[in-house]
Amino acid sequence: MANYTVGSLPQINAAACSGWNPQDINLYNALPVWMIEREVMFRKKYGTFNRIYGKIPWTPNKGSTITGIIAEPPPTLRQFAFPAAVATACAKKDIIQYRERTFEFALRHHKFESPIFQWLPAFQDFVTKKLTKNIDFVLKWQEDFMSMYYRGFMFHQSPAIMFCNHDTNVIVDPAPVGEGDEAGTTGKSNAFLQAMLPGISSPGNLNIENLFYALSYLEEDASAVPYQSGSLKDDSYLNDKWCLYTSSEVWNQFINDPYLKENKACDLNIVTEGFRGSLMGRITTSLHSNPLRIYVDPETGEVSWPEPETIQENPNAPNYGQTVRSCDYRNAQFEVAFLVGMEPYSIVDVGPPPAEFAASGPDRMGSLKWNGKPRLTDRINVPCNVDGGETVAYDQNKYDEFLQIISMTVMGIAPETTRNALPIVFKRARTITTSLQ
Amino acid sequence: MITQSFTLSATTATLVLTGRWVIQQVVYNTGAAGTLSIYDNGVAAITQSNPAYDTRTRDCSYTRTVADVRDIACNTIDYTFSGISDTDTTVAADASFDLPVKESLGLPAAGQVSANTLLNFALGVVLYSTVAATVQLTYKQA
Repeated sequence: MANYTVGSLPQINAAACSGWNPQDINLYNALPVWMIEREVMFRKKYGTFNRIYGKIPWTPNKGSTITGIIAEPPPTLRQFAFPAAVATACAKKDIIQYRERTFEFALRHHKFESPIFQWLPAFQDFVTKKLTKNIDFVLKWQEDFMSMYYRGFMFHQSPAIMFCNHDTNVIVDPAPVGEGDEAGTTGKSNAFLQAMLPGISSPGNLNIENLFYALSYLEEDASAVPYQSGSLKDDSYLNDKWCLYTSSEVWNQFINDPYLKENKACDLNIVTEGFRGSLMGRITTSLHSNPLRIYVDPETGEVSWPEPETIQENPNAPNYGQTVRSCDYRNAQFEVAFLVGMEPYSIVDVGPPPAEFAASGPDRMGSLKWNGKPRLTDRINVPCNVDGGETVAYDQNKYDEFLQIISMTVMGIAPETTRNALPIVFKRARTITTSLQ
Repeated sequence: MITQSFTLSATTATLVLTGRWVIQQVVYNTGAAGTLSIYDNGVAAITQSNPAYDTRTRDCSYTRTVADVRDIACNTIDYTFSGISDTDTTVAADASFDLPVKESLGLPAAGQVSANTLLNFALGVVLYSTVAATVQLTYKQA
């Protein structure tokens, strides 16, 4: 194709019908990139433990540990009763005595902070109101933290644990009990799990047959209690039912469950309408994001709890900067679900901080807040460099150039009737089925 | 669905698949009497090294006595309580913990035996035959 030559513009006295004079598309100033700000939806299925557990108030000025006392009904000591005949024998007597059981709980605290923001990015960057966005994320992070704390406590405090289709020990009762820790050395320790997980045979996933088993254990062996009418607000859907906390993956697999496929009603269209309804009329399911997943090192058999998410850090990747699943979490071979009945635990209502610390006034710079509400602070020490770049001191943020988001939460959970919750460990699976596939 | 054959040496654990798999058929073919054992492991071994761990055990017939309890009439009473007792215990480390066999096929003489199964493997598939053999697996991802 021939090139056209355009003479210097503007021109005067050009001949009519002379030359092709298109506008130079690169002539004027243009923004290199047109940026638009978008928000994407994130899965909001955080834990709903606050709604499903009971509440217990914390009483201040009574020490660091509260002991709860429960009156326990006397045990049933017979299956038959044979009273004596009036005419021929003396009456025997039963002496009934109830017992008391105690449980203890203490408070925990944790702090949440953002990085320190300086005014320059807020002045020149494209995305505005970064601090407001960060406050939202700090709040969501806190909610997740507390759900993980409650969930971990439930896992380590449960007096029994189920391993689906285990060769010798489907239900471990009594199971190790403890607080749990970062190193995995207390409670249901990593070493305990390493010894137990190889025994999970086939199919080993959380199918309906295994849920039947768990339900029967809870009701018959553990004497656990399902939700009762009137125990919670808006709880009618849970009356005399159990709640299964699990992942979407398990829920999606129910449509492929051999028991369901072989016993479903003919009008249950599981192809286009999916699985619906409560399980066996006794279990309602609550789906969670980031369920507990166990990664087993294929070479050593060592157990770890991988971080659920990470960030794409390759600048050349098309999704650079995106939050994605971590490799070990995605490849984790085992998962933990919970079958929960009536208020196995109670969330502690901490109440306000001590009055002298919570009060604010003209002689105070701030006041103690531990309700988890994120707030901005400018009370930051700024490193101060002398000539030569060596940090020698911290100066106050007296020019108010920096801000930070801070938050503090005090929380607690009371193990009132721990046998009402059962952790269930199973193999993850997406294709287990019968020959009906 | 994938069908694949593997050649095994006698009494040698062989890692044939790594990762999460569902095996739906096993065909075992030998030139002599033998037994095939299938394990869930990520390395070519049929044992693993387990550290010590704490757990609890139960005594189902437990009695304890609280002695010398004084009542307000100055009587001294011994109380006996009967029930169960759960106590902490430690399971010792085991450097050669035998992995459980997930499936086993036997042949009384040279020949072939097959089994339709639904075996779900989390770490990998390790085959162990007492004699030299060929094993055909039909499998898919879990």
